Order: sequence, then structure tokens, then C-alpha cells
Amino acid sequence: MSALDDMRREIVRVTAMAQDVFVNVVAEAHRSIQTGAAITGSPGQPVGQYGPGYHEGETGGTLRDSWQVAFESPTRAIIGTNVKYAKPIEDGIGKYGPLTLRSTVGGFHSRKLTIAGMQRIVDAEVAKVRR
Amino acid sequence: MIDNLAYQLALRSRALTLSVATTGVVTLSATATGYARTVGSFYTDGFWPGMELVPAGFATNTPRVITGVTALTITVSGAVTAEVAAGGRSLTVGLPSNRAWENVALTPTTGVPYVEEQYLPGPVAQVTLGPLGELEALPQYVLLFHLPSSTGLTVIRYTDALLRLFAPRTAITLANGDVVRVRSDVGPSVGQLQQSQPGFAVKPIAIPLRVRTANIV
Repeated sequence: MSALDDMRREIVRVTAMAQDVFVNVVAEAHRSIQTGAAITGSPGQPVGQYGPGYHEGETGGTLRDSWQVAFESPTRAIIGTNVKYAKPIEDGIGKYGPLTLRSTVGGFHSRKLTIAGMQRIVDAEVAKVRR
Repeated sequence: MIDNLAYQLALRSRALTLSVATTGVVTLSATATGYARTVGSFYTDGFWPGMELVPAGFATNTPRVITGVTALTITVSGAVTAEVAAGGRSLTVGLPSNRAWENVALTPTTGVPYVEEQYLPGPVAQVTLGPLGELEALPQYVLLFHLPSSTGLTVIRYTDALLRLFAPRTAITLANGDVVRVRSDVGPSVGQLQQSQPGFAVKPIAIPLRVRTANIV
């Protein structure tokens, strides 16, 4: 085996590791936005927990479940939602004033906390691949 | 050690120094409907309808909401006591005087801008070795500027001014020596202009921060 063969194997290994890191980072970022993550401090999306007078006892989750991942290429992914009230939930802004969080899960600002914590997600996933 | 109270109070103190528009100390007069000048331009100084201005150097210095602007005149909401021109006066626009600080109730006044504060403590992690190693916190300071409806893009002048006040790498040193720094890897972000409660439009701005402090065990 030549030094060139060793180098090619190393490139393949690093490329595979990089691909693993990328996929795992995307998955963790998705989880952070959708259900929350301690590494970013994101609370995840709130869910409707309905009481007397309106679907009593039922639990929502339309917004939480709407967050989807799409891989556009081996190095590009989109995490998004088409739910129109995702923006007000993100900022805690309601058309009648600041939103009151009644859900016992999730909260506001999940997207911005995930974005701010992306480097920690990357560092954690790189560390896992190295082991 | 992590001190979120100190961080939030320091950020709030800095936000209170916000300057959106100012005449500086100049010669101004007060009219029954607002204020006037004979030199300079209120437009050039950055005044726009929908802003709340604070007079200084007049007999009465009640904050007022701007309803009209020309180069030499500003009209405001409510009646103003007329005063002849004199030097040593100023008109400034800063952080709105109606402030919904966290966990402090505020009933907005129709037609009057207000600001809402939120503090996100963010995650904490130890980043250097040993029991007394450094902790790194990534808090975020969020301000939401609520301006009267139908004032166009005036709210963007507030958020742009705040972006300058909290530019990336801005350092705020606390009494205990900790430094709260505006991140540059993830810069401040301004959200979309949205409808707020009836009569108001709102624009949020989030300032991501980094603090490193020694752990205490």
C-alpha cells in the first residue's frame, strides 16, 4: 500500500465523518427546534392542551409536528414549517398582545436559541464521531 | 459565577442609552402644536411620525408622540405650551418611556410607543478544564418595539439604532469583572414587522451574547 492509498483512505474516512457530522447536526438542530434541547437551551414548540369549552382533554401538536427536514444536497438541508402561526409563536407575539404560554411543554424563541447554539451542536457531534 | 440578574440589568442599562434621533443642544421654540427651529432640519436629525420624543430645556418636558415632521417644525400629539425660542434645548428620541420590563405589568396607551423586554438565559457549559474552569453562558436579550399602527417603517429606525448600540463584539463590563459581549459568530437579528395588539405593530430584535466566568465549587 502506498502513501497515496493511505491518503485516499483518510480522505474517504474524513469525508464520511464529515457527512455523519452534518447529518447528525441537522437532526439535532431539528430536535432542538421541535422538542427542545438542553445543549441549546431551546424549549421546543408548545402544544395545545385544551380545557373546558374547547376540545377538552385533547392535545394539539400541529405546529410541533409541522417542523420538517429536507436535504437539498449532501451538504445543505432545510429545517422549516409551513404553519402560519409559527412566527408569532417564535417571538411570543399575538394579535391581541403578548402571548401567554399555557402549554406545559415547549415555549417561545426555539429557533433563535437553536441558531445561537449551533456551534455547540456541531462541537458535540464532532466529538461523538471522533470517539 | 453565572449572574443572570447582573447580566440583564447591565443590558437594560445599555438599552436605556438608546439614541434614535436627536437635535443636540440647539435653539428651539415650542408652539401650541409642537416644536420649531430656524436652522437645521428635523428630517436630517432623524425624526419621523410615530416616534416618541422627549423635550429638554423647556418649561414642560413631557414626552410626546410625533404626528408630523417638516424640516423646521414638528407637530406632536396633545397640546404644548408655547415658548419663545431659546438656546440650551433639545429634542431626543430614545427608548420609549413606556417600558414593559420583564414581570412588570404595563397597560399600553393607544398611540404611544412602548418597548417589551425578554431575557433568555440560554445554555451554560464548562469550557475549560478543572473544577474552577470557565463557564460559558449564551444568553439572549430580546426587545420588542411596539409602535402605533400606520406609522410605516418608523419602527425600523428604532431597531436599526439598537443594532448600532449592540453591534457585534460590543463589550459590557460588569462590576464583578465579567464581560458580557455581543456575539459576532451569530449576530443580532431583527424579526419581521408583525401586527401586535390592536393599534400597534411590533418588531422584535434578539441580541445573542456570550459570557465567560469562573466556576465556583
